Amino acid sequence: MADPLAGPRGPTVVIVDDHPAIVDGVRGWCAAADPPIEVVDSGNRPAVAFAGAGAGADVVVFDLLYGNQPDFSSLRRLVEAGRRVVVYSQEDSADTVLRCVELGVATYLTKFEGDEHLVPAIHAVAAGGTYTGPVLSGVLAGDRRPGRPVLSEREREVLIAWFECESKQLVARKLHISVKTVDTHIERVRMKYADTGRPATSKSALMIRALQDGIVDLEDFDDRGDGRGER
Amino acid sequence: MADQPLGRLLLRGVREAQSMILVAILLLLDLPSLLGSQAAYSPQWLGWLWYGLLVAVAAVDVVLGVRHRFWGRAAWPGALFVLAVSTAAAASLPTAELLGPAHYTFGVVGWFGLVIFVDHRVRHVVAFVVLHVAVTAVLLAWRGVLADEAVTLATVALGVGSFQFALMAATLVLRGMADRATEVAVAQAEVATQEAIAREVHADRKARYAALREAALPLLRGIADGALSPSDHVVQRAAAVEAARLRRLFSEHGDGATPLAAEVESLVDVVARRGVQVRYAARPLPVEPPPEVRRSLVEAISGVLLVTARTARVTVGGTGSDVTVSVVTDGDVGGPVRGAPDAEHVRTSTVVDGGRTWVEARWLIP
Repeated sequence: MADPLAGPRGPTVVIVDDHPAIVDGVRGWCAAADPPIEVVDSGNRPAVAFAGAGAGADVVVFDLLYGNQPDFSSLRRLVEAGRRVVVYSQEDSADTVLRCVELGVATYLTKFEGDEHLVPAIHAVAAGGTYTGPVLSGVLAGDRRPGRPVLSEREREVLIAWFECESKQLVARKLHISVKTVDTHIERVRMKYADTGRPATSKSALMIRALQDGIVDLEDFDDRGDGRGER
Repeated sequence: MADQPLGRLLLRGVREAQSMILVAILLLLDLPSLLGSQAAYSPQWLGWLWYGLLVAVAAVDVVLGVRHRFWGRAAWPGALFVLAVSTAAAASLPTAELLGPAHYTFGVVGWFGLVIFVDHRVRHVVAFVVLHVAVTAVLLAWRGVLADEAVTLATVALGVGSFQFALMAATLVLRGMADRATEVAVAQAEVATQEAIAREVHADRKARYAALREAALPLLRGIADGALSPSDHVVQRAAAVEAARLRRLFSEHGDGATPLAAEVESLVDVVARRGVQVRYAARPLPVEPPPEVRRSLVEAISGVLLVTARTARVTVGGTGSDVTVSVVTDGDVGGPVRGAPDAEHVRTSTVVDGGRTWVEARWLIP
């Protein structure tokens, strides 16, 4: 994609968000980023990431909620197509964040987290890496579902500290380790989550996964109306 | 007994009464009619066959009634079966016997309708009875005697039907009363619940006012009589803490945040009103700490938070084994940070780096 004659260029992104103010804000941050991030397209529906200039963008900045409905199925299609996705959403419930991580997004940032996280996240993700912001960090540390990856005590400490102080310098200072080691711990946690595949060996497991991913809806199974007379 | 216990109970009573009427009619009215007119059926055993089939349906109904069940979805199939038996019985009679005692089934079919459709809307029973009369009329027309017998048919139908419709009306009235009674009972339960909640809230408030009397009133009294100086840093901090408590007390019906998060949020509000930029984040807690631990946690961070001048990061969260609250402030916190009061399993740590102060209070879940 990058034109070799134009010299070194920053990554390209497509912004999918139904709030024009957010789109404009993210555009502004991208333009001011160093190296600058090129916004190749933007739109208020996920389709913009699948066709036209958006289909070739290095990174998809993806708003999860349209109206009030999270669009997990578009997200899944993006990830399955090998796209690198930064979810940027106002939703911060642990269930939603963990579901997106399990779907395979590169990172999940909430809209309370601004350019100081979104811009580094886009750079890291475009380079093939991941990014873990404070909110995601807090969610991973508090993950108490059965079947979650086993984290070491140190990893959990680092996640909590990063969630609390939003400063890797402070985390390093508090835990008496280097900033690089802080990053290593966080990266290791992400790898553990990436390795936790979701084996779907039985039909019910497949069904649960389909429900989780929004491919089917519980209402599809709703057996309503048995024709009884009274009320 | 699902959603309408009283209504269901009354309905069951009505249903038992109707079943008894049906059985009584079959045994005391229809059996003598059949015995007196069995010669009209040819062959004679046909009369007994039709009677047996009707008795069988009544028996199924009695069994259902004993098990507290209704016909439900089987209602229309059951009713149509009864209609078929009655029609077959009529068809096997000579024309002269139609509308006579031998055609006793004409009278009893409506009672079957009442029993079978007891938990259905009235229009089902009416439809069934009208259908039955229509089928009989068609049979009379087939035999070419409808014009002669129309008056008799109408008289018999009205005679039998008026009993049945009277009982149906009574059922309707009863059902209305049952619905009303259920509504009243539900409303009374609602009132009782509201009263209990109000009592709880009142007791809770009294407990908290008691806590305020211990801390807020002496502070106010001290300021009023000049023993405490409003310009004193310590007094300001104490006042801010008490103000946060008062706000929490008054915001009873908050946003459903847990008590710990709600207290931290009220602190955040106090400093945000002063123009401090606060980035606040709360994660769900594994358990809600007991009140004395909550107080220790909140007070551990309140000192540094309340003297913040510009920006602060405040969090509430935890893992499976601990609950933490934390404050990071930019800039000088101005004076020594007040040490947290002792509480079991609560540890406070402070990190100062590059002009920032980070205070974290951690409660290890015992």
